[in-house]
Amino acid sequence: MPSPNPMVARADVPRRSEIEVHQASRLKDALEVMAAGAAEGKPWMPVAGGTDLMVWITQRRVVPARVIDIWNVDGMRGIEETEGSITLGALTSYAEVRRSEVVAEWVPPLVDAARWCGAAQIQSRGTLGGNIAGSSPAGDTLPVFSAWDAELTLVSTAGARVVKFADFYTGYRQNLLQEDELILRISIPKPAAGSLQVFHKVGTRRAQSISKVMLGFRGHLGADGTVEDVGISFGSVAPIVLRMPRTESAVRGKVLDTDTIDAAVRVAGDEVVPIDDVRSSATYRRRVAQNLVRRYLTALSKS
Amino acid sequence: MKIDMKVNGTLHTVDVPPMKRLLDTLRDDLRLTGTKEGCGEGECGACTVLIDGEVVNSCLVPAIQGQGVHIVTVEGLADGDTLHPVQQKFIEYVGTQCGICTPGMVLAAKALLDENLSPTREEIREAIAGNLCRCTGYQKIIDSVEAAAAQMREGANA
Repeated sequence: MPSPNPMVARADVPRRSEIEVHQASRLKDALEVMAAGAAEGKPWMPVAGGTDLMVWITQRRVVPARVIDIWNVDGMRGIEETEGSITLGALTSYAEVRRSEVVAEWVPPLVDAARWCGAAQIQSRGTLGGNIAGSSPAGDTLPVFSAWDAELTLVSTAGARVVKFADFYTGYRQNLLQEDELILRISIPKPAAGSLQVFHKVGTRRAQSISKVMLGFRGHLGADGTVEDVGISFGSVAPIVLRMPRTESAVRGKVLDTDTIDAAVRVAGDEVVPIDDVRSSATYRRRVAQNLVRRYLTALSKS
Repeated sequence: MKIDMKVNGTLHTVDVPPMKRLLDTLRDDLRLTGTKEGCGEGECGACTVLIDGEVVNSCLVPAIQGQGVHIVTVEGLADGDTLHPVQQKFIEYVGTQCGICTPGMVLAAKALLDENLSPTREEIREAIAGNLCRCTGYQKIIDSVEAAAAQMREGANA
């Protein structure tokens, strides 16, 4: 379903005081309410930490007629480690990610992404599920979920379904979520031992800035020195968070010598599709993306 | 909608639309006007309050989420006529000029010191990165927080 585009002002929106609100504390209750709303053509928009929706309401950009408060819904928070993956509840806040020893051990770039998303006030309330559902191409955690091959579990009264993060976005602010569905959790496969793992944000300042370019990068070399596996994703250089399969193919199975890295950097320049906007220019974004690819492929070659 | 809201240790019942901003509920309904509005979009931190000890922007919290939690505003920091060490040091070290950012700045600093009594200047900078000040240039604010930390360490060791 299309996510609301907060860049577009709406003419006829309800007043804040007219918004119908349901506060859910149990997942079953939340899903039943959402299913009924979708069926009658009056869907409920979920709110968790409010860091997007409250701004949209204040600025009268997106004012839903119905809001379901899921902040306290049980079973949607917390971080767990299983044998092959780490699992994060959709209501897990950036602050919780920053404090998590499990995330720090297995996917440290997600800690960096959480640390540089907004500042402490946003990190207390903003949630991973909100970052994903918000569907902004500049969502700070998204390059990590993308490059690390994360999976999402979506739930409705019809049951749960698992979708690949890579398939979740279908266009600018468009995603697979149905009107009666919530993101329940995110699962990230544990990277191979010895992987180089990086999150790199380029913005005007570390805190509170919306990124000009963001990179999620993971890779490791095999015993023969060739690239055994690699995942490269960028934020803010395309209408959606952008996985870079062509750039990855340019190096996978190869020794990272100068010619190979040069070739991959050229491919990366073609693969990103940045725009000029208030934060940066397409030219700058493309150059920065290429420089980041060069920097971390070089680092990988020495790992 | 009636919402039971514990603010600075006192339980209040307010009757407000559930999506009303906590910021406006504090200022209009509870007359706690120490909490300021700056940008209204979660960038500036002027409306910072603590919810269960965590810093939040009260312009981004719907009133309904004030139910069942403990909210601390700048009015809740002093103990009678005795200011909180962070407040006292903001005065002594001139950490405040126009004053709009100060309540949020003080609360962000308090939240940091509740977790870490010996922060580096870099850690202080990070803790107040969501609180914008257009007057001081931040150095005197960081000086104030450092001095408050030192005083609180002494108190803890006394």
